[in-house]
Amino acid sequence: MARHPEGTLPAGIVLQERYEILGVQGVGGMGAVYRARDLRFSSVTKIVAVKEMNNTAPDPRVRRISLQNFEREANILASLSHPAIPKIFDYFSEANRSYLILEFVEGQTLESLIEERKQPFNPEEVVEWGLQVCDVLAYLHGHEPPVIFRDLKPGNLMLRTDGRLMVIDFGIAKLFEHGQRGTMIGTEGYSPPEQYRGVAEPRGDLYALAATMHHMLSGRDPRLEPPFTFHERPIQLFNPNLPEALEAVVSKCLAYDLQERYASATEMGKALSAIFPSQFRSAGGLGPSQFTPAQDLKPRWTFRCEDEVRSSPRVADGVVYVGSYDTNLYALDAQNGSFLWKFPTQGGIVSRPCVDGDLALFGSEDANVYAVSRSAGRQVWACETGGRVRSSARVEYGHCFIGSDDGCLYAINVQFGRVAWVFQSAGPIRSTPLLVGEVIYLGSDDGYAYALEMGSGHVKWKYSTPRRLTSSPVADENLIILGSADGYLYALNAGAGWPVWRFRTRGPVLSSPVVEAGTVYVGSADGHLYAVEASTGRERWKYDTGAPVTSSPAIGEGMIYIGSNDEAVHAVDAKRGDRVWRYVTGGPIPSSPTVHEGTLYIGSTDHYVYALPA
Amino acid sequence: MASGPGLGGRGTVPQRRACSSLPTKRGPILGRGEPGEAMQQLSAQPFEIGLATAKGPVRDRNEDASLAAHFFLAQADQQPLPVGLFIVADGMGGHGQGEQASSLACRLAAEHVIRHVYLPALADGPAVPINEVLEESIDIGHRAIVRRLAGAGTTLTVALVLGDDVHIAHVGDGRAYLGQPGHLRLLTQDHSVAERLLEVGQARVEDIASERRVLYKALGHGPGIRPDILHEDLEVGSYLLLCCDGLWGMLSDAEIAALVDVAPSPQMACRDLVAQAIARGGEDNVTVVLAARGWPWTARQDRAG
Repeated sequence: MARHPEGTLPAGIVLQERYEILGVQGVGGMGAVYRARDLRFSSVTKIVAVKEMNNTAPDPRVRRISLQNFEREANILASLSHPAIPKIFDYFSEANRSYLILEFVEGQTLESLIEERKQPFNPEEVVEWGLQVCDVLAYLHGHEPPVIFRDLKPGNLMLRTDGRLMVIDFGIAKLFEHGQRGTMIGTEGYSPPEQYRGVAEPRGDLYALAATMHHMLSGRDPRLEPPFTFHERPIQLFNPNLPEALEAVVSKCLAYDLQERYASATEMGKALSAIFPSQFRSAGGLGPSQFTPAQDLKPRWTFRCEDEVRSSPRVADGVVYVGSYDTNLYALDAQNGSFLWKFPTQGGIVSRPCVDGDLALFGSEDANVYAVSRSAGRQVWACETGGRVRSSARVEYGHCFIGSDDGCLYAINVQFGRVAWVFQSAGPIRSTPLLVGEVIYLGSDDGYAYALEMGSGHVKWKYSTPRRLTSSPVADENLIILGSADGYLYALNAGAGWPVWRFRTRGPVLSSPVVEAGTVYVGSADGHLYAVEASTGRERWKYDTGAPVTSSPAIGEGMIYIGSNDEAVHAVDAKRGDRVWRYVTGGPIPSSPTVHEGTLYIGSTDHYVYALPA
Repeated sequence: MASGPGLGGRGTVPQRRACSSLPTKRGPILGRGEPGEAMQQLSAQPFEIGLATAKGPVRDRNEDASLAAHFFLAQADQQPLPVGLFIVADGMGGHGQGEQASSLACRLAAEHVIRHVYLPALADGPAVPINEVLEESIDIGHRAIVRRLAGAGTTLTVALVLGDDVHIAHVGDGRAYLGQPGHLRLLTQDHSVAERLLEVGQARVEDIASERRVLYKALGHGPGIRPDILHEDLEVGSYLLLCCDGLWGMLSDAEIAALVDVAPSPQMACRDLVAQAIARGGEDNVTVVLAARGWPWTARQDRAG
């Protein structure tokens, strides 16, 4: 018999002088499924499905057992009658292959539907399908002898054009796969744990149905995850509109121990049908969106500046230091917000002041770097650069390192305000340098990340990204991590500058990352706060603030705080990425919070500095 | 060579105000070794590799594939940078397809890593992040197997050494260990159903002998593949060991460590490990790759010399 290179039957072949192959519907491990025409009905076009079993086991005994299993299974199918189960018309063997002739079901499997939609399904829709499957399972399990499906998954559920679900592929192929030696590839991610002990039980089908529903509701493919890990991915993490009762039903069916699941498909069906009372079913848009921005959080104090506060506060020795667009650096009492002193410059102050001994060091858009006595509120020195200073200072080895819009990084002697060396890049340096050992890491708006020798400012390495690097680097283990305006968060090898991973967001990352316990947190102009695994760059969670984020996160006890252009400060659970609270100010917040002894300090473009209970 | 004041090794932050002038001497750029010992000669930090593989007495074929390659990059006053690529793959599938799958995956992964990490490393440095190259190197093999060897599969463990860093991408139940004399640490997780059943309390150790080789993740299987990605330090005096289950299924971790510790060289260690696994019954193919940085072999040779 002429065959295609892949071993499938070509169109035009006629089996048993009756079934004319029209085309391949799908190919599986044990053979193909074809669309065929039944020639016995000459005046009408009757389409059937032909399912092929390629019985190629080298051991004749295995071949014989396989054939017996196939026939037994075909006989069971023949004894079933349910609208959601395809009818079987015939079965036969020909040239080492066995064939089933089945009702042809026009439609789309849930597997291909999932691929097409690429996002979580509506709870109403999934509950409706779940109820239909419970109904078939109740029929199969109540059959004499009971039929356990054993292989329920999205690929075996066919959504017909009329909206009804059919259960296809009765796991016949699986029987052929037994008896192999050595390593096998098992599990499709939907199978219950007991199945691997050889236990086939009705409650195993409930597990597989719940696993399928979990996949559709969460959008997370269990075939890409370790088996039996559904409870680590609660659906509500991915689908906030999910009714809790549905999460509970799915989760109960996914219990490891089958005694803890529903006793039967009928019981599971009852629990599912109680989730959306029938009068509301298919009303659409039923999802609970009872979001209320409960503003019961009271600031400990606020302080009004003359202009926007884009600068990020620094707290030291009971004093908050913060700059404003009104050109002043303010010193405020951290306890009550009372004014201590202010130091005027000739330009806006947008960076975070740095504290070293009695000095507060910061840059201004008047192009100067200032050192101000913290006790007196008076200038100790000023050092002029060739551009606006938006970078924040770092001090080490008695030197202050700070970038300027003139493209330079300056190393300035802290005592005298003298420049020790200058490193010139090809774009403004707004990123704040990071000092690790004797190396300085920084980003430049010329798109390069640089590692400089602290003593000389010589370049150890540089790494090029396509857009500006305004975000300030952070170190974790042997990685230097920083965001880019190209939308990525990059992790570079600290020693060599080679990229280890990058994490993609959908907007420029101007926010500076922070690291805590192996997790990197960073904001993006796409509106999200992201938590990313530091060693691999894989997403742990994301939190939507609803507006672009340029503020950099701060870490508190089990919490991440960040400002957003939605005019609010957000407090998010560090482990789960859930909102704990949200405090709305009167303007967008590019300022980054500082957490100190249970209080969060942050500025807003509404001109205020806020002290909030963290 | 004495260190200047405040010149600690990388990662140690010198006391602020310990000096008021900037450090001027250049420390080593790569390597976490003592700056004072920066003799910068290859012999100071040898990087030696071993590889051994055997079909074993029970199986008809050797379905394992493996690769070990390394070189040094020495430039300017930097310490020579050890660079290495190590791969172990264990194929599965009848009619000789298993050995084709492991060989294909191994070669495609090596080609991809060499093209996107090693060759750029000789020019401006890699542009694509290493983790992405590793993930792609596995995905390419996965797709090739699905396309050309339907039904077959393979495990694949790829380790990339760059200086002090080792980056690992892993799928299946091959293993990567990090060892030092007297100490062996398993880095990878076996993607086997048995391990998961044990973890969730749905099987006892004695139940799982036959389930051991059922994998829930392998190249050639499933809609897509997402390898585990690991990043570890490979310090001087430690070694990286990759093996297939034909080794760890026959020898305990303690036995593996003990054999490595007394072997005169990495190559001898690999040969001894394979021989011992076969002596235990060698029910499966056995493959082991070992990459050692310096100790203990050098020390032992010094003593012998």
